[in-house]
Amino acid sequence: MSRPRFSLYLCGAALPRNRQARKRLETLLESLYPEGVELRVVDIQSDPEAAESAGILAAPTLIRQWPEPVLRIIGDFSDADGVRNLLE
Amino acid sequence: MNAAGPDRISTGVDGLDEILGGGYPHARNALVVGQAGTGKTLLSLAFLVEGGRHGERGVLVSFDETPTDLTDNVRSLGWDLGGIRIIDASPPPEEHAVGDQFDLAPLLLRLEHAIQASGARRVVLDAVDNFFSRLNVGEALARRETRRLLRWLKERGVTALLTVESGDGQLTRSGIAEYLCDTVIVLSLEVREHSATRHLRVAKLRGGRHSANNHPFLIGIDGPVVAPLSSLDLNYDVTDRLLGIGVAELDRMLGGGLLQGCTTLISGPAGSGKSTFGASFACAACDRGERALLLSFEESPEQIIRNMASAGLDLAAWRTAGLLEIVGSRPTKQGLENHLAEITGHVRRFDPAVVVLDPISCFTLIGNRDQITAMLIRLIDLLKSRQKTLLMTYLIRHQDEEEATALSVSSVADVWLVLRNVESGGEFNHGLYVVKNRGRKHSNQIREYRISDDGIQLPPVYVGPEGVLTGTARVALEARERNQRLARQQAIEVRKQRLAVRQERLQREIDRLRAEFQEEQLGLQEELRQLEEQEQQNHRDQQAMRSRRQGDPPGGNENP
Repeated sequence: MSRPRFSLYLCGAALPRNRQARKRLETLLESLYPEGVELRVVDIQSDPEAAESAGILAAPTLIRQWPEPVLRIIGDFSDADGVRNLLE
Repeated sequence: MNAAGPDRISTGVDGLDEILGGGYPHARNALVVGQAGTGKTLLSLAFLVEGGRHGERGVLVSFDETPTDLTDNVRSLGWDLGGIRIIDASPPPEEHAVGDQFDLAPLLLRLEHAIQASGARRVVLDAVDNFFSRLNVGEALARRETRRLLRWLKERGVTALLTVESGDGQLTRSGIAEYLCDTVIVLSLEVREHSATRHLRVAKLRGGRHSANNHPFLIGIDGPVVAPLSSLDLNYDVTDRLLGIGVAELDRMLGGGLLQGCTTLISGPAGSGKSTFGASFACAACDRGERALLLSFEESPEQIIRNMASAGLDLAAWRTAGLLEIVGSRPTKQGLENHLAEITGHVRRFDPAVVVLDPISCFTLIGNRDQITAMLIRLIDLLKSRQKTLLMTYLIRHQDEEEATALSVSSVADVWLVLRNVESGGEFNHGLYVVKNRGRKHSNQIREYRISDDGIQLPPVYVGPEGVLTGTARVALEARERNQRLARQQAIEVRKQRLAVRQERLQREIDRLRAEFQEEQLGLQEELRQLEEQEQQNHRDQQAMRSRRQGDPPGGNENP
């Protein structure tokens, strides 16, 4: 049984607002999936090709690869309920 | 930027360079606004395709259509998008925005990458508002990101084109995109009596003079075409070169022929040989080694060639020689504006010295008298400014018509030649006379003419049997009275039209001033908003710094 798979695309992962966004997402994912998830964090500042191949236009963008349907969520996760509604 | 304004970069759209004074301002941005189906994408793609023709690379960011769809759509125009780098920003399935705390940095990174890799100088962002609206982005964020995008593009020194849909979008609702961009082009579409007419208007051109006219905009077989209305003033070069019609006696009646750049109307009933006069004029031009364009709204080129062969005019030979082009165009296939754009397109491409329209009375099928006259005024403006000589024929169905529609049309002509069926002495003959020859002398005789396989002939003036002489004399007197009446009516008509044109120009001037004022107002409001935002930001920064000084150890580690 594989765990839900996510990719988070940030532009400048070390920036405070991005670190906060990442922290908020991790908290949210923990509460939604106590069994754990697979979260890949991509900093497109250092890897622009990744933005190209994933078709990223805005940051932060979260992509849920699994379970399907594939889902894209754009924003900094400060609206936790909004994100939860989409993931549930 | 020098006193003459920024350099220009060609638009790839026939006629648009002229309207913009050479093209889009170099290293600036231009906004193309219009509803769906007005041709925004084509207009912007033309800009990239044109670059490709000169070895200039381009980047396209498509927020609406996928690269496959785009390529398919332009294939019928014979366009090749192969040299253009396309960033596919079309909407993926299941895309959601939550809140509005995000920015377009990834897009800029990708754009940077594409520009650097290809060395592009031309960038198009198609349907940029689509991205904001599909993510339900608020007005403030849309404004902030657009401003950032435009500044970024300008820093790269590329010439950029953005297209947005007009209406209630985040960018157009408050006019913010119009305010932020250097050049604004508005496209519109009007459907009237089953034929669609597109228009293009330059609403803004920072650092350049432009006319606020609505120009007919047509999507032709090899791309978009704009028919520029001539500039605000009517300063034509005047020459005194005379062009023969190919009928020596008629040229003599007109004092030597038709002045180069003038407009001639030949009206007459069915079977009077109007087309033959038109074809004769075209052949006379070819004879001089000049190019002639013959547009027929009634018959096909092959029919015309056959008909004129029986009047001793060998059109086929001139066509083979490349001096004559014959185009058959059905009047009902499109609206008047599109006809104008089509004619303009032919004139630009073929660059003829003389243009023959045969017969313009066909346009009564698709427009009323005022619309036809307005279209002709615009066409004549264009031809005059290029010193091209126009001859148009008009079919008179009933005698009454002569004083109504033909009168209105004749008012825009410099020369008016009337063909008549004259019945006298128990004979039915063709007669012609010159009603007017603006600024020049002409004969006021009615002359008989015949069309045979030797062409058009004007036999010597009748001095024959008495009956015919009196008959001709009577007809001549009647015609003179009629001429005077027509001339009076025409004078009234001309004044009315001149007044209407002046009124229209005044209105445009008012509109322009109003638009300028609104822009200035928007600009001030925007500056104010920026200052306020900055003020708030300063305040926040100060607070953040204060709280960090308390919380963090001295010599903190990060950039704010």
